Amino acid sequence: MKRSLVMVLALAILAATSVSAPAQSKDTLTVALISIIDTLDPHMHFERVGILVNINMFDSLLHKNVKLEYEPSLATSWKALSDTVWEFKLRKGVRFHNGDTMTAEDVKYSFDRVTEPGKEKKRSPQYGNVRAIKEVRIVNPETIHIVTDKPFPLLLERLVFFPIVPKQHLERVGDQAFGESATVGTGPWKLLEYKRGHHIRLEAFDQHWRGKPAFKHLTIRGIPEVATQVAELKTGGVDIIRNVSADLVPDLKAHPQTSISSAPILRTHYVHLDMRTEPFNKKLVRQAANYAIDREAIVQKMMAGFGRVVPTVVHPAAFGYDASVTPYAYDPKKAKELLAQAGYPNGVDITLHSNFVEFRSVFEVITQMLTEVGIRTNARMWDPGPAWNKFNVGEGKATHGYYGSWGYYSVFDADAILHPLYHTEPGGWVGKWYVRVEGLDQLIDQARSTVDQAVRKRTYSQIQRLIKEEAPSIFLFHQFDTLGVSKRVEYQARGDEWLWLFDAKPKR
Amino acid sequence: MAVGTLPQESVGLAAAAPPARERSRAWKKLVRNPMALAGGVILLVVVGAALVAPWVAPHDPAKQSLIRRFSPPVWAAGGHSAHVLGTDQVGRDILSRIIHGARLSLLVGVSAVVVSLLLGVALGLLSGYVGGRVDTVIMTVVDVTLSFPQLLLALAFVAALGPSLVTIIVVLGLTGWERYARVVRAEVLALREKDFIEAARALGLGSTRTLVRHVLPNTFSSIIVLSTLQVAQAILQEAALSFLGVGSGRTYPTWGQMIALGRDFVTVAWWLPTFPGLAILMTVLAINLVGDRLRDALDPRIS
Repeated sequence: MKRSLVMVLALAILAATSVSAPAQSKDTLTVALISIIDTLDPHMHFERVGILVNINMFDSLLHKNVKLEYEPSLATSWKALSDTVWEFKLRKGVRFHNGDTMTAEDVKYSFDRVTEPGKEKKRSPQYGNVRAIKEVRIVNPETIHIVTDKPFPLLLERLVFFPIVPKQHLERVGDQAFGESATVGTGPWKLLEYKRGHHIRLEAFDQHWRGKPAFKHLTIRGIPEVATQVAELKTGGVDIIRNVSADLVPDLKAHPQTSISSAPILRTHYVHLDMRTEPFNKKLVRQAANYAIDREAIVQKMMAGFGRVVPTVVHPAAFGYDASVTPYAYDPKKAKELLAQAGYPNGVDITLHSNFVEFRSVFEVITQMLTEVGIRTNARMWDPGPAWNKFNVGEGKATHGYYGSWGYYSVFDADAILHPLYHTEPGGWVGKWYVRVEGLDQLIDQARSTVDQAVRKRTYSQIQRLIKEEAPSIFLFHQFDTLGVSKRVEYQARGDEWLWLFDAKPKR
Repeated sequence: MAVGTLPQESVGLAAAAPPARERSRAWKKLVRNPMALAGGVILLVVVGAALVAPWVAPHDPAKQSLIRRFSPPVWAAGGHSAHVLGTDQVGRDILSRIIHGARLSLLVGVSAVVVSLLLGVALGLLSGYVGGRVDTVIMTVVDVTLSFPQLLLALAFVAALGPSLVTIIVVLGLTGWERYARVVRAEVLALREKDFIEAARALGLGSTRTLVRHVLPNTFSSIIVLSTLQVAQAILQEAALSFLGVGSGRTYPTWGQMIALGRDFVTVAWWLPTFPGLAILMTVLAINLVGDRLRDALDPRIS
């Protein structure tokens, strides 16, 4: 009896509050992420929670400022020599965290380890991003040429997140250790401690070429529960949390210790439908699913307008967006008719998966809307982390589909979502598991291999019309990046969904 | 079968079950106790709600309304009379969900206890009656199982088997049987030496028959009391598992799941986790009250 009471109390207390961490020292900045990445090797994952850590430890050739304009980083200048050859001048005297000086060899090595010339099977899940790069040529110690097999319009965009790693160091310690303990870059912070699944501690790098960041210590904590993140932010245990639900925005705005910073970003939501199996191997069912969703209501009521409906998955801010393609209307009657036509007059039972815990309520609403037109949906929520990645992406098992989002690698171009989501080549991302649309691969390839922007735009229009008709996904909306920020820190949300913490400053 | 049923009177002491007079006295004792009565009434309400949920719930528990999200309880400012306990993050009626949630909670609670009761009583009888090596083996297993935190064991099972209603019931059943085994074994050890068992044996009754007809009924009062407490325990554990996200894995509402989902919004809508939490509290409390008083009533030493 006593024990049961204690358990009830424990549940109640868990629900009401959360354990708070001790207040932190002044020179430490703490960021909460929903999970901690499996590897710190910046080339061996495709996850936002990894990118956000990597960018603060590594530099790429180019950088974007808060207005999203290109800025020099490890490359000080660049120009196109022809349609397929670009020249980059490298910054001199840049140090890695271990003291080595960065050279053209390191730059070449970084690209080679992703594209792996001569090797059939690529290890890096980012291969699809830079597949067009045929060769990196060292002209002299301060100059490199990047040669692409065809004109590659996205080259500069792709170089903003393409971390340069130290060749000698990596060859000495090996890939495994590099991703776990011996991670070395040229970025503002260097690794102190990496505890998988729990936290990462970084320390300012004295010899960073930009100078020292305002915070000496940077801690990234993995906190998978939204309620805990919010409680930690209020009590000073963390300084920045991401993806604050619109429902909690007024609360955090009113709280004396916290503020909200928000910016529209590329992150686009969708439900990928598994086209390999019943019922979504039928086009009519996929269309029915699209007619079943009241996107506008979700954006207005659930997200308080912190988002916008998109017709397909192509974001209005991305190159190639075609405004003449309109979103699916909310038409449950039509959805039921299509479902009946497809051979399911009594509806059909499906399962949808997700690990998008910050948008759990939106997922619940989507599954209920589908259920109401007869696509009776069992919602399966996963914890974010390795198990989910293995299940969903590594093995493509999410029959009958999954609800997720894609942040474009912060690249403002239609290719940055169409290729990973819909291209079926082995180097692609989830497309190879779920998508079967005839002719789509060729169109995506065609659009990414010319620098003639007019041709590209036309091809993307064609693609958007095709995918709207074929409906390989339930198209939804894009979101805003809504950060909860402690009042002791000054930091603005960025339009590319980066947490570029070099810009973070203490307020008092 | 030369010897048929052993007539109870012929053994004199054969208290296969308390005599009718004694039983009615226990019942009266129970009913007269105000705490037990209160617990009984609450329990009746919960069971009743579970049985007729679709007819008494004011709304469909799955029906969402994006316009009526986070509607507070009716007595709070902005409350709506259609939703007495308010609505949740997707506009579902909380009262209706609690009423429907009673079904799963009770179903899991009772079924899990039945599983562990069958297993635990059988092994306990065997262990106590046969003794020797069998006893040693069974009791070692019991000790090992008891040394694991129950919830941790359940979590491991669910993680391995995948969440489903049947898994939860079986898992909670399999992590609760040791108590029955222990209690029953202890009773059997005491009973084994009693005169009426001797008498039954002397009359030529087989082991199975003696065990089932004469030993087992004498353990009933302990089993009943233990079961009430175990039901409460199982309900809590189901809630805890649902709360941890490894519950029945279905979209049907459960109290634990309501607390888990409501927790994210507790700062802006306190009623989301509070009412299902109260439902758990009241139910478990009621079962425990009845169970405690039942034990007192059945205990001949307390008058």
